[in-house]
Amino acid sequence: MARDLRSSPDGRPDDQPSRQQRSHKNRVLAGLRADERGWIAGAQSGSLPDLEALFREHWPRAYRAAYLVVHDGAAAEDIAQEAMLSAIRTLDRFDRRRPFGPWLHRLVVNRAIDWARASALRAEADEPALELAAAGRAEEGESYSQPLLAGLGGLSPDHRAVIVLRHLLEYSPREIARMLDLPRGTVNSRLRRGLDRLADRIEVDEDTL
Amino acid sequence: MNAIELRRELLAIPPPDELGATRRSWQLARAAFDEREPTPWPKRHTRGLAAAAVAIAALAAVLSPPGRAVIADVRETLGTEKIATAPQPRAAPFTLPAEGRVLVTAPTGLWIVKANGSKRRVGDFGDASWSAGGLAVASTRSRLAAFNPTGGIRWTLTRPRVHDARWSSSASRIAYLSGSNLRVVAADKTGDRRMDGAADVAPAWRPGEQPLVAYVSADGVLTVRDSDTDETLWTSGVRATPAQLAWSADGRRLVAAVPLSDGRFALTVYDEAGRRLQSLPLPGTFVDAAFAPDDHRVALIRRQRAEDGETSELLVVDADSVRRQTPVFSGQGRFSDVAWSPGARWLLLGWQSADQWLFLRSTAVEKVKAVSSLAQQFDPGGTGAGPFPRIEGWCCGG
Repeated sequence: MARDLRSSPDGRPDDQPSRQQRSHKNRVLAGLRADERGWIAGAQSGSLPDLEALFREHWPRAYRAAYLVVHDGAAAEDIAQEAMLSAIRTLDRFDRRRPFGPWLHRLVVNRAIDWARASALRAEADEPALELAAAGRAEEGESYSQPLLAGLGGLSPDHRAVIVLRHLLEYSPREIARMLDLPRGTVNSRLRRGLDRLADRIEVDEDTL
Repeated sequence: MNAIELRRELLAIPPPDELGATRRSWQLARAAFDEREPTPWPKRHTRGLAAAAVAIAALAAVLSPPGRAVIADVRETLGTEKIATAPQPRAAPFTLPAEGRVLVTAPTGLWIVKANGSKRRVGDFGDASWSAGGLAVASTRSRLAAFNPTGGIRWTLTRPRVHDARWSSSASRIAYLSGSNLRVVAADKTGDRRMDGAADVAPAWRPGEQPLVAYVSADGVLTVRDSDTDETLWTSGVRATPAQLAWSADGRRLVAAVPLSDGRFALTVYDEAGRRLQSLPLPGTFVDAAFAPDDHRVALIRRQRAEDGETSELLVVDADSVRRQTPVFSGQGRFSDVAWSPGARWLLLGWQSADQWLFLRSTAVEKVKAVSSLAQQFDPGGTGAGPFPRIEGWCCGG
């Protein structure tokens, strides 16, 4: 399993996405972009339905990404919400030729990393631990979700963030490097180390099911 | 597990209360969208317009003498974008008789009324208060929101059953109730923590450098505690849970309005060291009180039963000698709340039964300015049905 996690099914290095796992840029150019441009233009002109469409498209992933990094529901909601509010307030200045998602995800993930680091320093581990247990219970016996969530919880915020950006939001390492303001090599090494540790954890947790 | 399976599993992890979080966030997103001032179209397209104008001008100038006319047209086009400005506020139905801004909660949400009478709906919040410097904090049932000086939401914090949030006088901390807990959070949203169990009465920060907050503990003890060190400065037993706590602006007097069992209430005054200076039982039901911003006068509303129904009275009481009372205004029905203007020259009284606000010159009561159809003022285009708008404070600056 550890082998599988570290590489794609066809054996390519992880910074070269397969056809199924194209970069965010390619996917959005394929279809979403036209709708999204319309929504942004509409929202810039004051259209509430367009804002709602933009919100519905991007909020769920933003909230999920924040939650997978911070492992605290209330904090994730605050983080995703503040990023969304910040995006809305500056919507008029947004260049609609560019995709909205990366802009929002950059805000969300950087804030989530900051929050998780600060939280670790304060050693506020009690509430997230409760949520970890609660969040996975629906999947018990039918998926990896519970051990996967617990496994993510055992990683550092930096490792969680790159895994979430790569494997949930499907950004390429180059895009992640730009979003987190890191060298591409650092992103690749964090991905490798994070997945190594995650693979170990999932194996352990699987045995307990 | 390969990368595709990993993604599937990440998508299968349910974030807590996803629907609730989405609903709450959409409400805030919508409020933020409503409150933003859209950039005028020409300004948003300045670059595009300028580039198009330059291209047209160059082409026209090269092709023919009438190009000069085109250049003039282009100048005109570029000129008009400089004229475009943000939309003007709608016509004001009334103005405040003094400077500052009034914070109001109505069934339609939270509003800020400026001195020129313009009203701005800030969002769907159920209770709010000002800091001494004009920062607002507000709450919904599950969310605390801190505002920046322009009225935009600076941050929000999700906590269960949030209410009665108050800024410290230095605007560096917020104390609030979450269910039956008193919590404190820093102005930058860091360090949110539970301080103590608390009764259902709004905490009151003592003005001054030290972060001292007065509250009633869960076991009914009036307590003043340092929010940074958790050191309790003093405590005092109270006969019943006070309806309101308020510090004087200089931090030397704390007033507690305590309901009594025999249709009266007591106005109890403490000094900064917790010594009980005076306690005066007054007939009637306590409604609201506010310390003057410059001395120890307290504006107080009480309601009493009368032969022909209810009457309400607004008094000004001297906290240094509570027997010294000045009746300011009385009327049939219910008064709801009172606030002092910055500078203490005016009192704003909510008269629920008359659907009015009254601005009363605190030093010359014969000067009264009334604003009628008050509920409709905060329900534009509606009927104004629902609870009477509540005055949350009248604060400094424009």
